[in-house]
Amino acid sequence: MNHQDVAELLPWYVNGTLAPHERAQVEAELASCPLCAGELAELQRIHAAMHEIDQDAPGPSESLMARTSARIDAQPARVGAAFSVKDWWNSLTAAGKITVLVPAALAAVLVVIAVRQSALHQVALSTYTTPAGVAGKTLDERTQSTDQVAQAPAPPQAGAPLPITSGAVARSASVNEAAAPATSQLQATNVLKRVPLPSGERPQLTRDERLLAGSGLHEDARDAALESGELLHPLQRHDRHERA
Amino acid sequence: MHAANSADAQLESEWLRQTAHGDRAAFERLFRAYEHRLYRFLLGLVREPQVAEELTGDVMLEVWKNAARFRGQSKVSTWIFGIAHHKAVDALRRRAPAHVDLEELSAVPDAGAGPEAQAMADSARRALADALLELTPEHRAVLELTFTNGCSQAEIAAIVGCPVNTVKTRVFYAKQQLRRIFERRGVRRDLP
Repeated sequence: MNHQDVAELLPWYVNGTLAPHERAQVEAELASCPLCAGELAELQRIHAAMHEIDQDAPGPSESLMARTSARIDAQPARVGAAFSVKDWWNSLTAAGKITVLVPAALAAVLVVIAVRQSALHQVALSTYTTPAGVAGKTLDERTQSTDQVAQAPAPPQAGAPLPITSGAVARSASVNEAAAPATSQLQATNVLKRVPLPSGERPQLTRDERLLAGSGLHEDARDAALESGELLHPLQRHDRHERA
Repeated sequence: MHAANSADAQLESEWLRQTAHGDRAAFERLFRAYEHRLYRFLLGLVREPQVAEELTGDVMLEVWKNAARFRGQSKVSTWIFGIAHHKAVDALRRRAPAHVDLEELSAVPDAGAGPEAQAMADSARRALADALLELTPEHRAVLELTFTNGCSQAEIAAIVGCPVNTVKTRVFYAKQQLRRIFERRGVRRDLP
């Protein structure tokens, strides 16, 4: 930084608003340049004098505030401040509303999730066929007892699947309308790949089966139950039916 | 700005936010905090007390009307002084430049001839005050913002609407101009 560069920064060195690195550069130059030191002294005198002039200067008349208020009163009413997320957030936190609203919002989200999960759960129960002896338990109960079943598994009774009740189909169909994701067919294809038919064919899945395959719910537990023979996959059911 | 340290700046931001929601008490606090600074800044530019006062009211009315538009990307003081500078430039464009009668300015003797130090200091201040009146509004504005209002280079650039380098050169030439005025009027070179 040459003398001219430093000289141009001196006014802000005097008023104390230079960035630290600029201040360091100015001080380095001041230590070795008597010309800059002279400039600095002159600017410091101007600074002090302008402050004194400012202090001595008269202000506006006392009535200015009242006159400005009258002009504000004469203005058309403001429609309202532009919406600001920050202001909205500040208003929530300032009023303490946040302590009520956040738990309420969380509770609402949990209720929605629970309802949705419960509906899909019904679909799972109606889609997977359970061997005799496990029927009557919920999917969760059966999942929890997977270890016991694995230790002493009851051999699945081929060809004796429990029928899907028409009520369950009706129930799951209504859930399907509301909640089936667009990718269910793709995910159903993945299920087909995991449990291929012996013949290599791809049987058509019912809407309920596609929904279950696409739901992603209880996937680990479902796979464990399938491995233990506790549950029969629709494709296995199809296979047994073919063999029978 | 030196007059607005961090706590003051935060307080002013809060007043402005409340003003944006129509809080007249917050607006009055903001008004009281700025009326003198604005008036003196504007007086330095337009040089007529009545016009400066009218413009001060105009600026604060703009603050009231546009408080909701302030997004906090600069200090409140930078925003308000920016409005003030804009108003002053508009006012100066609307009328012919004020004629400064050098004969009417207080006689400024060579400070070295003064009998007492206080008298010398007073004379020096008067000399500077008078010399400031001779500067162009652009030069006067950057000097006022730098030395009276303690603005940084970037703040001044935002207020007057020009690049930082232009601010630097304006202050440099304003100071050169002051020197010439002092020399012409026989005021000692190192004054004030």
